[in-house]
Amino acid sequence: MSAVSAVGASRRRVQLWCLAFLLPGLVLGGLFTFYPMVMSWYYSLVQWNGFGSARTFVGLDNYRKLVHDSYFWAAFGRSFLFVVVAVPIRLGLALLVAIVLNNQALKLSKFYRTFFFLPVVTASAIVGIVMTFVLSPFHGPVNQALQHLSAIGSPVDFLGNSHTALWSIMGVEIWKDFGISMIYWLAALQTVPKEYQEAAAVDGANAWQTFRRVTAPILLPFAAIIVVLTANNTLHLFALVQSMTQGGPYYATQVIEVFIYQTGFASENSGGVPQLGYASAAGCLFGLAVMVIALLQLWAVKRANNVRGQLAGAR
Amino acid sequence: MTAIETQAVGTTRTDRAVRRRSPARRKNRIREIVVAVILVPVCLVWIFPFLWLLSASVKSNAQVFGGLNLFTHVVQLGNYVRAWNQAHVGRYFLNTALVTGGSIVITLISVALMGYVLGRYRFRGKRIVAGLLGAAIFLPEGYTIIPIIDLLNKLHLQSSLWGLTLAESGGIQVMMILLFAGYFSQLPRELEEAAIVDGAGFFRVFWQIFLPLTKPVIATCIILQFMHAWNDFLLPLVVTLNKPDLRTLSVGIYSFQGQYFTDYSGMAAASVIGLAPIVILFLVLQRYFVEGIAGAVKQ
Amino acid sequence: MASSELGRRRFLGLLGGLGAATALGGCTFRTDSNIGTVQADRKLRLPGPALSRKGSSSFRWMDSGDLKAPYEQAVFKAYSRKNSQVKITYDGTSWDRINEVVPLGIRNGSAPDVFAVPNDVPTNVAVSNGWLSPLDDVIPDFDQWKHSFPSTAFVPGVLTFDGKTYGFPLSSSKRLGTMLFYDVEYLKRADFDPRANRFTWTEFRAACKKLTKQGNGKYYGLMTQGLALGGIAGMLAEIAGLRGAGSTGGANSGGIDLRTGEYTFTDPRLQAAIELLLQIKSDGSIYPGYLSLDDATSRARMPQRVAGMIFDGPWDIPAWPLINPDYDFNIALPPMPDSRKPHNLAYQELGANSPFLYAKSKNKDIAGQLFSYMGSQAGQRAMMEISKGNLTSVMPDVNTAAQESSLLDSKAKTAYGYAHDVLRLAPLPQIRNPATADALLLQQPVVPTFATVVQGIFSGQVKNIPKALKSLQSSYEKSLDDAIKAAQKKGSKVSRDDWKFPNWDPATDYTTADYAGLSR
Repeated sequence: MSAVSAVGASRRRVQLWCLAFLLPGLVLGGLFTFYPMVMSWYYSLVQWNGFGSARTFVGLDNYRKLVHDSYFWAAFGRSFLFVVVAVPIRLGLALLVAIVLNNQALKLSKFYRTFFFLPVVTASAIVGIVMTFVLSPFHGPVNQALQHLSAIGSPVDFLGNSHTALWSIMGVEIWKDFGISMIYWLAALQTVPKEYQEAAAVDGANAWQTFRRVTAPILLPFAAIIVVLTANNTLHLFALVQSMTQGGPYYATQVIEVFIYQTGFASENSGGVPQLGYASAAGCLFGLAVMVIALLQLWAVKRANNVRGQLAGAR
Repeated sequence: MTAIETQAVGTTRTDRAVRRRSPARRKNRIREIVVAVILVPVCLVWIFPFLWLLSASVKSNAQVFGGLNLFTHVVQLGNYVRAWNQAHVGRYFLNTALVTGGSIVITLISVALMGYVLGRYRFRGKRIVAGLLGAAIFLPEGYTIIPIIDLLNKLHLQSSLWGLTLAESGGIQVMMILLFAGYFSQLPRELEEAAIVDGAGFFRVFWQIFLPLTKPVIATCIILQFMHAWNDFLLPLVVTLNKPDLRTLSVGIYSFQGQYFTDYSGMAAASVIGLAPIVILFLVLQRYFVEGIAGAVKQ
Repeated sequence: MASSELGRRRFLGLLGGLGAATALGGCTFRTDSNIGTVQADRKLRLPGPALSRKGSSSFRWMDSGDLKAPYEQAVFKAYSRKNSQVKITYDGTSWDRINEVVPLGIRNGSAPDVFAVPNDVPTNVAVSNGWLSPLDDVIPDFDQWKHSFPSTAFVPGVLTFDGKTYGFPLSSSKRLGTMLFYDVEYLKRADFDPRANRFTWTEFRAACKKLTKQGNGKYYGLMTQGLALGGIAGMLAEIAGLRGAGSTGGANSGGIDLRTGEYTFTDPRLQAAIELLLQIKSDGSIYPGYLSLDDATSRARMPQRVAGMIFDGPWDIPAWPLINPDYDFNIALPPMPDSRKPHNLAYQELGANSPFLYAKSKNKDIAGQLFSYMGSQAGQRAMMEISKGNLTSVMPDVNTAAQESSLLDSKAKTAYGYAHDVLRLAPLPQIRNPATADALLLQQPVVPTFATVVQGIFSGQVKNIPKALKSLQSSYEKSLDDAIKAAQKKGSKVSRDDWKFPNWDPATDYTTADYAGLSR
């Protein structure tokens, strides 16, 4: 009996320790994540220019207006297009490079990694300035290289042409944030025990087989997180677009965060009147949509797994 | 490019098992060369914008957009002098280092603690915490800078490096927590059992046994948090609005950008100065990515 | 670890390689740091007593910088020399940043002591929200100080509200923001002298074409940027006689012909001006990549000699020589219609560059002393001289006297002359009825704006120009009407007639007598 209570006491102690360990993170998160989040929901229900006391509670009016705002939906669509195209490319390439660079025997690996990482650490405003030059149709290096290779006849105005601007920004974004994905993959690859791979190689498995049978299953849970975070990150892309095109030409690159910013802080594209309440509502509605899509995806993945599990069981 | 790289991966992988055996050395060299042939040009293209930035930082403003040529006959080191003075690099550097360093410590502690219990323990409320983490990623948000500023005011932390540090480390860093949780969860139980037999308590097990094993994750988190805090602009500017002495480097870098006139070469020089520490940090912490935990644990 | 040591060194070598390579190439190193920044090289002496209180103070000033920055910094330096306990931090930054940061600072109670009111916040709103401190009790000998300004400087509803004065015009807003800047050598090579012979629309187009042809890929006829095109079209149309649309006459009456009180986006002259620019574009005469540039970048490219002409204001005059000291440029009046009968352009004296004092500032005495000097005859004169005449004063005597000064730049003098010749004071609804600001504050933005629509026309995304302009017209009309209705509902005495000044003759300045002559 005393043994049982001892176990109970120790369990209780562990429970207390666990809570103590969670405390700092929860307090910080409560203050700097959840409180601002809840406040921003409140802002979405008012008509407010962000300054002054003239804050009128308008209920769901902002949302009602948003639903009919074609610029909002266009921006919404661009952000999703961005995710659908840029995330797979970025993650796929980053995984390949990470696998190559994870090899300790590779002496120069450190420098390759540093080079790939450089764009990540550079402020977006700087990248914007550099890239407007790099992509410029007037003696810009990209155009000159393409012309040299006879890939194009006359220079392309990558950022000024409504058909190429968004894709160009995607390219730059992939380039800039590639390093983060690479770091994530490298961190994940660290969890793959080397012995497994060596054993697989001894068994005569080729690289693809090793990857599929040994590395991939271990990476999978990480991959799910990395995909979600990268997608989330991409949906909130802002500074890069703002510094390269300010959402132009004529909204061609206005992704959702740029829409929100320009609506909230009164830019030329939004008519020069700050509408913080409306901007907040746009953020919330967009976030809500993302959440629904993510949950649907999770549900789909779970279902797929279940089906696969049943199939495996049947076999 | 993709196809070629896949091939490179292939070479890398198959060789790994035989690495420590005798003929492996030559093979290693070949692989090194193959990878170099592919990656060195890729890297050069990759960092072209930086070479451009570096070259812009020693050009005059007239030459900055002058053309492709990265080389200049007159090296304007004066840009760096100007950058140093106008961006108050001396003072702002220290502020940035304090804020960044402080936020790294705070973030690492909160994140590692959370990751540890989430990764290794079952406790009441775990589901709620996991739900909160999910919510932190997915719950929609609108404008958050205003409530954050209001909050710092209420905590009487406005206009202080402390407030700024907290705000920079605040917010749930879900990726970091998951990295820690994942890493902790796959460390073997035996480690802790042995320690408990020696009479180690809950905290000591964490602090002395498990935490030191997570160097790769720690390194990753340091770099992620460093990037976040080092380059942040709006929050430091607003928080330190009435204490110009407390400003950070990125605020200084933006001071080259005016409404009608941007001093590109000065800005480039200031950016190079601001970039250097991150590059160095990255080079130093790289080691831990390579070290790999599998080896570290099972030695 | 030996290999990693070596590696690290190799890496540093790579990084330093660029510098090293240039050094090996026998390059010269220069360490003068003044290139690229406007330096205030003149030492000012401030009259009046030193600050009476001791103990160190940190004083902060934030505005949009540029032309006024060298002058303000010279004043700050002089002030700190006199009062060594005062440290002044100056932030000259972009309007976007001011719009973002100042309201946050006010929320936070930490706004700069002196700031520019965000350009999306009407001054009377800043006053009624308690952001600003009246200057009446702050500036020493206030009445005498105020008296040295012309009476028009403080008309109620602009800087004066309920009998209190909240700001003063640091410089005059009577300046031409869309002069034609041109590369002297290029224009000469093409046999043009726009200064002697003002371009007509047709000649302008031909000049752009010829310049581009002679530039042969090295330079183009016209430099501009996507969001500037609307303003240029509006300006061209205004010289052709249109009032309203696209005019740069301040946000509050932008687009409205103040004679009729109606928006004029559907006027054929505006469309003709857009067509002219489109023709210049299809001639291939515009610098490639202009659509994605912004103001700052498009201006900064001119001294690199990649284009022959740009429309811009006096701020470029001191900035360009800093970018390229050898750049030979000049200014001319913008093109006139082919009839060769140019009309005047309208401006509104809103007190350009007015600094405002934060209501919660703890250093009002310092601001008082600074304002006292800056708004004095001596201070205004110094402002004109340090800005080399690119800023002008609202005090007529100071202006006339300073024009004789040898310190003024000849281009600035020309610009001053142009402004004098071309600009005529337009009426201002908020002078007639301050309640108009209530409506403006409630006005829901029109999206897309005129500037954005014109950008879309040039990027090919807006195809039907008349339709787009028509829809702009009705959106703007509706937006203002709705705002007025909403303001009326809140008890504000405002009506659409407040924007209607039938007695306005755009060829002459609109005077106080004209306001009095309006029948309500």
